[in-house]
Amino acid sequence: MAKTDSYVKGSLKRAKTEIEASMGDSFLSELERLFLISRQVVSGKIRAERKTRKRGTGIEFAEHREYVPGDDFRSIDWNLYGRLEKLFVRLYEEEEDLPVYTMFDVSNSMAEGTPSKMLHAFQVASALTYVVLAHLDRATMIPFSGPMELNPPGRGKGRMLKLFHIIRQSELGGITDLAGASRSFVYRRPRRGTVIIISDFLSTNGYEEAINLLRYHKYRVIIVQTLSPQDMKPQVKGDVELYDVETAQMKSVTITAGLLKKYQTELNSFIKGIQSFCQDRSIPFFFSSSDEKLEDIMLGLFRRGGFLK
Amino acid sequence: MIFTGISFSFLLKIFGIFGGMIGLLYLLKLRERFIPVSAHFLWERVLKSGQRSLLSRILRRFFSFLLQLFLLSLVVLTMGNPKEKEATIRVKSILVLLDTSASMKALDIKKGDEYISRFEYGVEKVKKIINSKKEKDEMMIVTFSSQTVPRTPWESNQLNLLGTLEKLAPNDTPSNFEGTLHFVSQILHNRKNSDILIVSDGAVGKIPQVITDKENTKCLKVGEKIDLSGHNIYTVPVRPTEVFSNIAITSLAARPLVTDPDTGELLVTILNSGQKELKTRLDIYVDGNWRESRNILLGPSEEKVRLIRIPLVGKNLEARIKSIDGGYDPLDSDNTAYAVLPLRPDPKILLVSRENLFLEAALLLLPGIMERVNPEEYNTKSPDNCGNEKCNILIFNDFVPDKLPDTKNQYYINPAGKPFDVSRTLNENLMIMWTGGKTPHPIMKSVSMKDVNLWGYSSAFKVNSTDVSLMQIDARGTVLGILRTLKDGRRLVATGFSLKDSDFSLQVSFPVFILNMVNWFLGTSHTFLATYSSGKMIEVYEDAEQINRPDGKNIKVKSGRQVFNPLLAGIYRFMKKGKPVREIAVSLLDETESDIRFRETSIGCEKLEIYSPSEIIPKKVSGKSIPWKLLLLLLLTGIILIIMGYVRGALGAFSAFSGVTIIAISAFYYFKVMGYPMWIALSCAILVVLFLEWITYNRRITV
Repeated sequence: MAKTDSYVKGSLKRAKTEIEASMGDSFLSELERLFLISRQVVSGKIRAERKTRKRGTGIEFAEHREYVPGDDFRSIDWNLYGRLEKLFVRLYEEEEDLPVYTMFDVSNSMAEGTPSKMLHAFQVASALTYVVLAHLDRATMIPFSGPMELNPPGRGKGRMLKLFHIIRQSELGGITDLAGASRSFVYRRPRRGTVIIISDFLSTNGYEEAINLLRYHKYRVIIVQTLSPQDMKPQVKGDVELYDVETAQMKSVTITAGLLKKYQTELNSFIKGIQSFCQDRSIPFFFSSSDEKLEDIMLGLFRRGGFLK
Repeated sequence: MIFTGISFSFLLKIFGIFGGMIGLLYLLKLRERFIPVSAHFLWERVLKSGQRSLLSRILRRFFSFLLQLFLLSLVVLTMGNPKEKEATIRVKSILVLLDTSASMKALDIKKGDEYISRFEYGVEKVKKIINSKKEKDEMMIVTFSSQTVPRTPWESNQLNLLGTLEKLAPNDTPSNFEGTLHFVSQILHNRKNSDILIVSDGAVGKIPQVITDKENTKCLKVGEKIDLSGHNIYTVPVRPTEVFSNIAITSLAARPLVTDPDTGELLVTILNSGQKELKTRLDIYVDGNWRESRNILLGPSEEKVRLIRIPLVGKNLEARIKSIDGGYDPLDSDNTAYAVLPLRPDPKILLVSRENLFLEAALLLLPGIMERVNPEEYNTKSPDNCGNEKCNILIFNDFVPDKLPDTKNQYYINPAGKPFDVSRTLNENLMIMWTGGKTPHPIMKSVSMKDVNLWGYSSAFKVNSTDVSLMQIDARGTVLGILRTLKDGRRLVATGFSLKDSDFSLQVSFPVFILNMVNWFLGTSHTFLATYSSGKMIEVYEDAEQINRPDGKNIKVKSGRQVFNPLLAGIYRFMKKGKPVREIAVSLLDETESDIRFRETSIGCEKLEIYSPSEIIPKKVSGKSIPWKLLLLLLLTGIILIIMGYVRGALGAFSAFSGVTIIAISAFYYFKVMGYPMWIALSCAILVVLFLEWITYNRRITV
C-alpha cells in the first residue's frame, strides 16, 4: 500500500508542478491570444448584455404582476388600477452580467496520463474563464474532486491572477465525487449562471445525479470530458497488476489483445452514455483528449458550443 | 548419441548458465507489472467476461518457461553437433579413384570466363571431399589411367592429402578401369564398408564385371569378376558444362613400300566424336617441316581412314588435325599423332660361305652392299669390313668363327654347335611343322616351311629362357630355328640345318625369310611400329644411358632391355653420350578417350550413386521410407492441441505447450528421416518452436 500511496502522491505532485509551471506570463499571453480569437468568433456581441429572466429595475417593460405588500409603490401602474381597480406593479427586464462557474476535476484519476488530464483540464478551464472575464462577465474557477469551497465569481481579466493564487493554495487529489461537488455547489446558492464541468467522469458514483442537481437549480450546465491517450488506448500486454488510483483497488490480470478490444468497446459505450445523457437534456457536451492542443479545443468549443453567446 | 561439437560437460555448463538466466527471468516475470489506471470499474466490467483463471495463468506461465527451457536445450544440443554413436565411432575408409586419363585434359568446364579442364574440376571436387571428411576418416588417393598409381597411403591428415593432390596431373593415356578395380579389390581386401569414390568423366573404356552388394544377377556375364562386395561405390561425376565436338587422330601407321623403299605410306584414321559435321584439315609435318595437307569433311560420329604416300626422307613425322570452320576443340592431346619414320634399309652384309647361288641371289635382292668370303679367308681378312664400311650383318653358312664377332646382327646357317648348344642331333628326313603359330616373330612373317624337306644331319638347339624359337619340327620343342639376344644387344639368328641338305633355298619362302631377317636386323621390317600407343608397355633393347621424355625430363637407364610405359604423347629419345641412338614415337590413339561425351560411370548394370561431399546435401531418401502418415498425424495433433490452447484453464495451457512440443519434434523427426545431419534437424526444430512461440505469444496462447 505504501507503494501505491507514494505513487499517487508522486503523480499528484507532478500534476501540481505542471499546473503551477503553466501559470506564467506566457500562459496568460496565450489566453489573451485565445480571447482575441474568441472575439473574432463571437464578433458583434455587446459586452455584458445578457438578458436574464430575472425581473428587476431595468428600463425595458417586461410584464405586470399583482401587487404584494412590500413592493415599491413607484412601480405600481396607476393607469391599470384606474381601469381594473386592482393594483399591479410594472416589471422591467433586468440587465445583469451572467456568472460562469468553471469546475475542473482535480481528483487522483486526473493526475494520470501524459500529459496529465489535470493540467489539460486546468488549461481549458483557465482559457474559458479568461475569455468570460475579458467579456466583462463574472467568472470563477473551482477545482474539485468532491465537496468543495466556492470561489466567488469576479469580474475583469485581473481576476485571473487571484484565481491562480487560489488554485495554487488549494489541495489537489481525492476521489471523484461529482454528486458531492454539485451538492456543495448548490447549497452555497451562488447566482444562477453557467456551470462548466471539466472532468474525466471516471467515477464509480456516476455523473447523472450531479448534472441533474445543477439543472434542477436552474444552472446552465456544459460538460467537457477529458481523457488521456493512456485511458483511451492502453499500451499494455501480458501479466499486469492493475491499480485504481482513486479506489486503491488492485487486480492481477493477463491483458491480451482481445481484452484490450473489450476495454475499448466498454470505454466507448461509457463515453456515448454521457453523450446521450447530455443530448437528452440539451446539455452541451464536449470531448477532448489531454494531448489535444488548447487552441484547437477552444476554437472547437467557441465554434460548435456557442456557450459564449 | 555422442557430441562431436562442444563436449557434453561444457554443454551442461552452457545449459546451466542460460537455463539459470531463463529461470531468473521467469521469476522476474512472476512479479507482475504495476499499471495504474483511472477507470478500474471499466476494467472490472471487461474482466468479468474475459479473464482467465489464476491456475490457468500460472500454468501458462510455467509452460511458457518450460518451452523456453526446451528451446534452450535444442540450441545447446545443436551446438554439440550430436551424431549417432554408430555413425561417428566408425572410422571410414574413403578410396578416391581420380581419373587422370587423356579425356580429363578436355577444357570444357566453364568457370567464370574461361574453361578449366575436367581434371582441374575433378581435383576441386576431391578437395571438397577431403575438407568434408571427418578428422579420423582415412583416405587414399589413387590415380587411374593406363596405370593405377596409389598416390598416398591410408591418410587421415587433410594437409598431406591436399598437398598430394596439388602435384597430380593428367597424362595422355587411356583408362584401364578393369586394372584399377583389380587394384582396388586388392587394396580393400582387409577392409570393410569403405567408400569407393570414382572421380571421372565416364570415359573409362571397358567396364569389368564387379560383385557389389547391390548386384543384379540378371546382368551377370561369364568371366572373372572383381569382388567389391561390402563396400559402397559412388561416382563423383566430372560433367562438362558444355558439349563440344572433338576431332582426333585415332590411328597412325607408316611403312616403306617393299618395292620402293624410298617411298613410305601413311595410314591415318580421323574421328569426329561430336554430333555436328566438321570441316577439318590434316597436316603432315616431317622433322618439323610441312609436307602434306588434306581437307577432310567429317560427319557426326564419323571416322575416316586416309592413305597418304610421302617420300621417306626424314626421321620424325607429325600428323596434325584441326577444324577449319572455327569450331572449338576442347581436347588437344588427340589432335597430334607422332611417328618415327622407318629407316631406309641399308644393309652391309658379309657372307662367309662357299658359293651358294640361291643364298647369294636372295641377298642380292636387297639394297646395299653384300660381300662374300670363303670360310678359310674369314680369319685372314678383316672380319667385319664390307668394302670401306663396317658390316652390319654377318651371315655364316656351314661355318662358325672361333671367336664370336662384335657385329650386332649375325645369322648362322647350320652352326652345328657353338655359339649355340645343341640338344639333339638328328639324322633323318624331317619337316618343319611350326613357325610361330598365329603370331609369328617378324622374321617368320609370311614364311611357310610346310613344304620344306630336310635330310642329312640337323641340329636341334637348346633354348634358353630369353631365346625366341623361330621354327620347330614338333610340338615337343625340337627347335631348328632360334633367335638369341645377348646382353650386349648382339642378335644371333640360327637355323640348325644346312641349305645343302634341304630344299629350303629353293622355296619362295627363303628370300622372304632372308628379307624379313635383314629388315628386322636393321629395324626396317614391315612390322615396324611407327608409333606406339600411349599407356601400353614398350620393350626395347638399346645401348643407351638415358631417355629424354617429350616433356623434357630425362630418365637414366642402363643399357640393354628397356621396358617402360609411356604416359605422354611425343618422341622419346634414347641417348648415349649426348647423342640420340634411337627414337620412339608415342601417340594417344584411343577412340574411347577421344569420345569426350560425358557418360555416367557405371559398374556392370549398376548405375552408381552420386557421392555428396557436403553433409548439408542429404542423401537421397526414397519417398517410401519417409513415414508420411506418422508425420501428418503428429502435425495434425500438434495443430489441434495449439488451437485447444484457447480453451480456458489448465487444459488449454497444457494443450498449447504439448502442441508446440509435438510439432517441434515432428520437424526434427522429418529432417532426421530425410537424411539431414542431426544439427540441421535440431536447428529446424528450433525455428519451428520460435515460429510457433511467436504466433502463440501474439495470440496469448502460451503466455
